[in-house]
Amino acid sequence: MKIMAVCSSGLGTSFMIELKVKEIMKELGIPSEVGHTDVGSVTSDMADIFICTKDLASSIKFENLIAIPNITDKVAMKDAIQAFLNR
Amino acid sequence: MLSTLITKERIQLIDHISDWESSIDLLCRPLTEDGSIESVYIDSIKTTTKEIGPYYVLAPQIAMPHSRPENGVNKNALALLIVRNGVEFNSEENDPVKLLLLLAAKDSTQHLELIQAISTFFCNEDDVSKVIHAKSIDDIIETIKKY
Repeated sequence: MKIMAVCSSGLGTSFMIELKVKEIMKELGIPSEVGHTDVGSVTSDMADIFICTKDLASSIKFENLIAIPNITDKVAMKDAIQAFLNR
Repeated sequence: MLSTLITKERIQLIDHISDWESSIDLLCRPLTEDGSIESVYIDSIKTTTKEIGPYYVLAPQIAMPHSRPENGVNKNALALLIVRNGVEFNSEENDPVKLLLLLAAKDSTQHLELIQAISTFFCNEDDVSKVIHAKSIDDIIETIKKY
């Protein structure tokens, strides 16, 4: 599974999200490739799931997008990913 | 890692500030003064904020303002501003912001280790709280020195 973390500049926030998502996918035991990019270069064929901060949710119009309000809250992020996978 | 970049001169501790734009100006001041960033870096953060919202408010009370390396970064640098009474960034879930950490990265691969350290710090609620409630700059340095 490919997951892409997205933020406005593609360097700070998205990388922080990537770190958390990697930990989460490991815990869930789902082999995945996690990367990060910026909102200007992201395309819908880049990944199976996209994760961004809530502020950016309106700028990324992909169906497979998870928007998170707090990037330090790993539990909530894990719940959101699980809910997405189970939908 | 963090403590080598967040030196005493780059930490500011205040009670109150009028608005988010002033907080960005104050946060950046030590780095424009020491030449780490150009003032265009500040403008770029503010412009993007007005366009898309406070993209760097990452968690309750925490903001990490940053822009891209080509927007006036001369060298990797960090600066820290604590606003004890908080400042509103129009971030519904995470206002008021009390801890602002400016990230200036010279290129987008070099700083990965740095962001890892920042992320570890932000995810430690106790240390974030200690820094926000610090009585002095020395207290802050003491708390962040392990990152």
